[in-house]
Amino acid sequence: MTAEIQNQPLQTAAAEKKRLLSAEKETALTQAILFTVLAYLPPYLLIPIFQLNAGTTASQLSMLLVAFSPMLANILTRCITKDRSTKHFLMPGKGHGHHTLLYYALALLPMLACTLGALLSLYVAAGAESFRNALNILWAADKALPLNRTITATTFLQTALYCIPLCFIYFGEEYGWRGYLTPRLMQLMPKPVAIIVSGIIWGAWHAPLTAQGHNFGKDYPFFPWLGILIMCGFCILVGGYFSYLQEKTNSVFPACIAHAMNNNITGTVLGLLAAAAPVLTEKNQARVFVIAMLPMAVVGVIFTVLLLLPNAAKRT
Amino acid sequence: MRGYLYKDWLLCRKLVLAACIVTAAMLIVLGYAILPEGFFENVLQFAGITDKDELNRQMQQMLSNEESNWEWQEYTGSLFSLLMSAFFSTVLFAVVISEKLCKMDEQKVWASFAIGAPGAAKQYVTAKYVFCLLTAMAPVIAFYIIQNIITALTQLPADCTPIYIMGFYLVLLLFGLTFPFAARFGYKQGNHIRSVCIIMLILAAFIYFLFGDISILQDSDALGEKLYKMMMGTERSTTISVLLTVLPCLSLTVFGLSYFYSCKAYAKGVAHYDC
Repeated sequence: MTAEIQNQPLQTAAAEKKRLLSAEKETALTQAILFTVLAYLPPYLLIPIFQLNAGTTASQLSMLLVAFSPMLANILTRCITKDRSTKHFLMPGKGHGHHTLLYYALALLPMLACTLGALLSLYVAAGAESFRNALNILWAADKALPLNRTITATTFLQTALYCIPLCFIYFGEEYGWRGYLTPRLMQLMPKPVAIIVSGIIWGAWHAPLTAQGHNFGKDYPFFPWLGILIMCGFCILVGGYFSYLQEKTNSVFPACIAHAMNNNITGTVLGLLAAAAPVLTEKNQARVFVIAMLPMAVVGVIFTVLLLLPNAAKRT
Repeated sequence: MRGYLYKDWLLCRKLVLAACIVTAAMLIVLGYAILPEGFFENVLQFAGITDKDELNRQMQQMLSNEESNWEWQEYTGSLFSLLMSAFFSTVLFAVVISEKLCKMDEQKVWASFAIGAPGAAKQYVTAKYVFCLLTAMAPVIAFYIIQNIITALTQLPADCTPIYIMGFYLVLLLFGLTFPFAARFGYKQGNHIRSVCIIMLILAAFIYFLFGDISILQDSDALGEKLYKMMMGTERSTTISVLLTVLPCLSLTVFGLSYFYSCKAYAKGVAHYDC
C-alpha cells in the first residue's frame, strides 16, 4: 500500500508526459496534413487548367503562384492552427562557432554535380567523338564565332552568380518543405522515414508539371507515372541533402541556394551542349535528363547518410 | 544576432518606408508621362489574346523592326525605361541605407557594451552584412516579380534580370568598400581614408583613359544598342557578357574579404568613436 502511494506521483508525471507528447504529435500531424493540402492546391488546380507551356498570361501567372505555394501554405497553416512555434529557420546560421560558411560552401556542390551530369548525359547520348567535337566548339578561341570559350565560361558563371540573388524564388519552396513540413514529420516518425515521406510528398507535388512534360518530356514508357516515380526518388535523395544543410545551419537559405543551383545549372549546361551538339536534342529527353540527375542523386545519398549518422551513433 | 538585425531594422525603417513611397510615386507619375496613350487598354486587350498564331505574328513583327510595329517598340522601350528608373531609385536607397548602417551606431559606450560578450563583435558585424544583403535583395525580388507579371500580361520578351542582378552586386560592392574603413577607423576618419583611395583610383582611371584602349566608350550608341539587343534576346555580346560576369565576381570577393577583415577590425575601431 505504501509503495503504491509512493509510486503514484511518478506514474502521474510519466502519464502526464506521455499525454503531452501525444498531444504534440497530434498537433504536428494536423499541421503536416493541412500544410500538404494547402501546398498541393495551386499546382493540382492551376496547372491542369491553364497548361504549363501554353505561354498565355494565365499560365505564366499561375506558375508564379505555384512556385510560392509551399511558402504560402506554411504561412496559412501557422495562421489556421495558431502555431506559435518560433522556429522559422530564417536566420542565416546558427551563430558563433558553428562553421556556417562551410555549409554555405557545401550548398555550391550542385554547380559541380549538375555540370558533371550534363556532360555525362551528352557522352552517353552522343558518343565519345560527338562529345569531343562539342567540347571543342564550346571552347573555341575565336571570339568571332557565336560559341566560344568566353561565351561558354561567362554563361556558366553568370548562371551560378545569378543563383545567389535569385535564390528567393526557391525560398518559396524551401520555406515550406524544409522550413515546415520536414521538421513536423521528424516529430512524428524516425528521421529516415521522415526524409522518405517528405521526399515523396515533394516529388508528388511536381506531378502536374511532370504530367505536362516538365523535365522528362512525354516520350517515355508509362508516361507520366514513371516520371513521377523517378521524381519522387530524386526528391527523397536531394531532400536529404537539403535537410542536412538546413539542420546544420538552422536556416533554409543554404538549401535555397543549393536548390537554385540544382534547377538552373543543369539547364544552362545542357543548353550550351545542345547548341554545340544538336544531336542531344534529338535523343530521348527523359534518358538525357535521368542521366544528368545521377551525380546530384549521388550527392543526395552521401549527405542523407551524413544526416542520419548521428542518429545511428545515438542508437548504438 | 537576431537582436542586432532587429535593431538595424528599427533604425532604418523610415528610410525603407521612404524608398517604398518614392518608388511607388515614381512608377505612377512617370507612368503617366512616359507610357503612350491607350497603353493600358491595349495591354488588357492583348492579355486576352489566346490565339497562338496571332501572338506569334505580333512577336515576329516586333522583332523584325518593321515600321508597322512601332507601337510595340514604343511600349517595350517606355515600359522598361519606367521599370529601370524605379529600379535605380530603389538601388540608390539601398546604397543610402547601407551607408547608414556604417555610421548609425557610432557611440563608444554602446559599441563597447555590444561587443562585450565572446563572439559578439563577429555577430554584430555579421548582422550588418546580412542587413545589407537583405537591403540589396529587396529591389531584385520586387522588380523580378513585377517584370514577370508584366511579361505575362504583355508577352513582351525583354529580360531585365541581368540589370537587377548588377544592381544587387553593385550595392554589395559599395558596402564592401565602405564598411571596413568605418569599422576600423570610425565613420569620419574611415570616410576620409576611403575618399583618398577613391581619388587614387580615379587618377589611375584618368591615366588609363589618356593612354589606354577606350574604343568601347567612344561609341556609346553601339553599347546601348548591344545592351538592348541582349535584353531582347536577339544578340549575344561578348563584351557585355564579360562585364556581367566580372562585376559579380569582384563584388563577392570584395564583400567576403571585407567581412573577414571587419570581424577582426571592429573592436579596434570602437576606440576611435567620438562619444
